[in-house]
Amino acid sequence: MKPLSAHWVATSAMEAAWSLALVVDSQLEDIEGAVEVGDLWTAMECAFAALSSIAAASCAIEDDPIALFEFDVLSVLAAVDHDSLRVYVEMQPLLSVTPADVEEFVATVRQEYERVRAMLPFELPMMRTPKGFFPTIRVAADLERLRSRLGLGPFDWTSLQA
Amino acid sequence: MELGVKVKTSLVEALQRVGRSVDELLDLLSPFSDSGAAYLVGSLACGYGNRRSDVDIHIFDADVESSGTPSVFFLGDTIVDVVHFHPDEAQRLSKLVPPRSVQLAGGRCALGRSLSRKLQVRLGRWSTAIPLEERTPPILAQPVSDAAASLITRGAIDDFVRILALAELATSVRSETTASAMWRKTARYLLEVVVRARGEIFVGEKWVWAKARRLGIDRQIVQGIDRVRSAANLQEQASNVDVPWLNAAELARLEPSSVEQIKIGSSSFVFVDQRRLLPSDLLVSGRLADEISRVGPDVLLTAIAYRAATLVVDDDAIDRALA
Repeated sequence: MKPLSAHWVATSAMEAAWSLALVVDSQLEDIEGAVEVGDLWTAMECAFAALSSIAAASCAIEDDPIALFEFDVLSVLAAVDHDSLRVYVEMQPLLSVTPADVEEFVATVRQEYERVRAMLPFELPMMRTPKGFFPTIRVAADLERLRSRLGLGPFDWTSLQA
Repeated sequence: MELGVKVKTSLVEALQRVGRSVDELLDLLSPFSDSGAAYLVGSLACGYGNRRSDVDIHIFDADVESSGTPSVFFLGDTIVDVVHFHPDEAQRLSKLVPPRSVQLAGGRCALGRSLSRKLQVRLGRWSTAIPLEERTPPILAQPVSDAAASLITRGAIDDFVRILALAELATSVRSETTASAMWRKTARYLLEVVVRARGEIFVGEKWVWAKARRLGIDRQIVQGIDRVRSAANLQEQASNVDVPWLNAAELARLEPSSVEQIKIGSSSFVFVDQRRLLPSDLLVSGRLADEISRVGPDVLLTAIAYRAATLVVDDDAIDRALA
């Protein structure tokens, strides 16, 4: 097994993890909520938003800048002609979208989500559940300790806010 | 099309959407019952939202030290986000002078300096808030609520110009697929301008298609916007919805990030975010049109993506383009 770069774990991997936890997890909830009430247009809009955020997280794992807001996500994806943009171009026209189309697209999104999560060197718990806070806080504290050992400053949480 | 469509949603209906009752919510919030006026804000307050939505509560508390800090609670699996604000925050927003505005997209668009996104979101939320107790007055004074749509529409115009710039840059130097995707996305931002101008002032971009449906926007227009894959398509749709065609290169500027130029031997670099070394020609700033001529769209796309520069709008130039 090849060793991991501790610097990479404490920077790029950490940023990708937080973007999945803070943005993508709630986007996946948005999709499910829209599907449950039959709002297929909103479901597809949210599904592409999630797919592009996941794509941006995979770019962050490869040392690209963290991108949480849509403009930043799109600028990162456009800069590298990311394949996820092909999915958006080929996405069904909204007015003719069916529940089966949504189900298929959501399956693609979930597959990508699991693929990118598997690229992370640590397990990231879900953030916003009644049980989900303390494990996440522990992971955050562990990562901050690693950053400190590497001579890096604390992670700038304000960079994650709108 | 009636302007300023406002859908009155009751607190009961809003909470039913997440499968909760008013009594449950008030019981959860009982520790704050003496804090100050409390309101439901966000998607549920505007008639959107679903079983998985958060319940967003804003409380105006004269004793709060730091406005805007959220606390998270749970009603079963439903997240209840409670944010405290000092009443001065609402008074400050209430003092916004309603700006001059122009007709656009079936409504009005403000001229002058835009509000920050944070203030746009706050204005949208506070203009559509539902008090938890019936006799509680509205958060904002009426003139500000009335002006909210034009101010928030201006925010959508700014976002549209920025994404339009990105689409134009990508079209010059990226694959046809990337360009098509960017034009499709830009059209969604055009629709956001339209729904805000017509009174859907709650800022939440994922609801844009639901807002279009609720406003009764012509199905052919929605279809046309969803089919955009090029600048020509977008220009046609903009004309259909009474949005003037905007030349993003003339309306946007690049503001350099705080970067450092460094040399390693004879090689020069731009040091960005204390992490990345970029070629020195990524030091860009000024009017987008000028920088396109000087360094080309490929360098600019890279500079924006890797945070060597931020793409911002020129408020005065947009005013001139809209007036």
